[in-house]
Amino acid sequence: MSLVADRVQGGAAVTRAVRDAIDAVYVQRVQPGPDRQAVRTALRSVGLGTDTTTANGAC
Amino acid sequence: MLMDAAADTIPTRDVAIEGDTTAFIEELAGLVRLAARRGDLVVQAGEPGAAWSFDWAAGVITVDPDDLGSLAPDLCRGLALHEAAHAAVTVLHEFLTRDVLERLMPLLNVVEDIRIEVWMRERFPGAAPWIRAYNDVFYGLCRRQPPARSRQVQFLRGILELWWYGAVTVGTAPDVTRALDGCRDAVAAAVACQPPTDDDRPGVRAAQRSMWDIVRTRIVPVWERLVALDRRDGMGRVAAEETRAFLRHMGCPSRSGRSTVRMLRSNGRAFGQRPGRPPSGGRRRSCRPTADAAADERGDAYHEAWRRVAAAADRVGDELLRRLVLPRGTRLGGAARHGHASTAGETACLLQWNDAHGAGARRRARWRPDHGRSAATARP
Repeated sequence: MSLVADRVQGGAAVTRAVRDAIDAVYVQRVQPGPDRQAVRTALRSVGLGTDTTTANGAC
Repeated sequence: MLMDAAADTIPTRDVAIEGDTTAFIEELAGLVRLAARRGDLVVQAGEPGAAWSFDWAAGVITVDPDDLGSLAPDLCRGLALHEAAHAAVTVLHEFLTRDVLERLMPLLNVVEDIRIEVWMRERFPGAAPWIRAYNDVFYGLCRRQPPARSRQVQFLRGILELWWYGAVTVGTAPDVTRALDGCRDAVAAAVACQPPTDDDRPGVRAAQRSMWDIVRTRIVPVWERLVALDRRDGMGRVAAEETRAFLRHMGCPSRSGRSTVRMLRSNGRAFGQRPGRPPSGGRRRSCRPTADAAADERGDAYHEAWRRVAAAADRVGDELLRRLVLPRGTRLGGAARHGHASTAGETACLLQWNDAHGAGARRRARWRPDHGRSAATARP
């Protein structure tokens, strides 16, 4: 939360800040490889992926 | 080839995976566990060319390794999510007898698939393009098939075509068209029996029962009348063959308990299929309705602990952040969450973020000055 708050206060867009925070706080703690990819895909599936193109609905 | 960020090496969207698909299968396994919130689900590679299938009793999804190597990864991910959705919210097997399931499964599966697809758009809003992609492929293939001769299969196909295209295939029999028109509202009502998007298991069962009640009273009689007409006209054998073919495409349990699912392969390159690689089989979705209600209740201690505390922690976090940092009315997207995870199995809690689209959205409404108190407290 503090990470998000810092970035937002620093002028970052909320969506981008939240996604970056998710990546830093959660995704990077998952072991690399399929597990991390599964988490990334799950995040994309709910619209919280770090890939903004996908998050916006493009295919 | 588009890649996800950081240390991941699996292509994410447009181009089929070349070579070893083991890591992709592991990813799909993690995805379905997260999506269905069932840590017991297993994804395994079947024989090349074999159907994808979901064994409800064992919690095993079997995939065709050829498909993984020839279709776009996001299309496969969408199908995996569809299976995960069945694992999460299709509970017909919990209260219908096997005889009823086998007799009505072609019809039930059609309505349930539509219901699931609608639910998936709410539950997995970021996956909408994947869902649209495989449905476009599937229904496009359906439309290229010659019309069924039997009324009952025309009816089943018609329900799907009306949902996806808004019109049925040219050549559909007039009495089938009338039957479809007569059932249009009932199908819509059955599809509207949407499961909750959170872990409300009683709500999931209640929604399924409501859907079944509508199907039983308003759609099954129509379908059985068409079955009787087929039989009267000496089309029993044709109808049986067409129904089997339809089940192979759509995915309904057979007597053996293993069912087959949608066939999405086409002749030609589609959705990232590698140029020059001929299609070798079918993508099929399936379910196996052997009762195993206890499986829904499985979960590790971490998951149980999350269920107890996550909602309260999220509310506190969201409201603190909103009060201290963000201007009122800013959408958080449910992102300021708690927890630490080290494996995909332990990160099932991550999908709670999607709850922001339901309960979270209502919590946010509480802070909008233009919203009444009643809207905020409709569902504490």
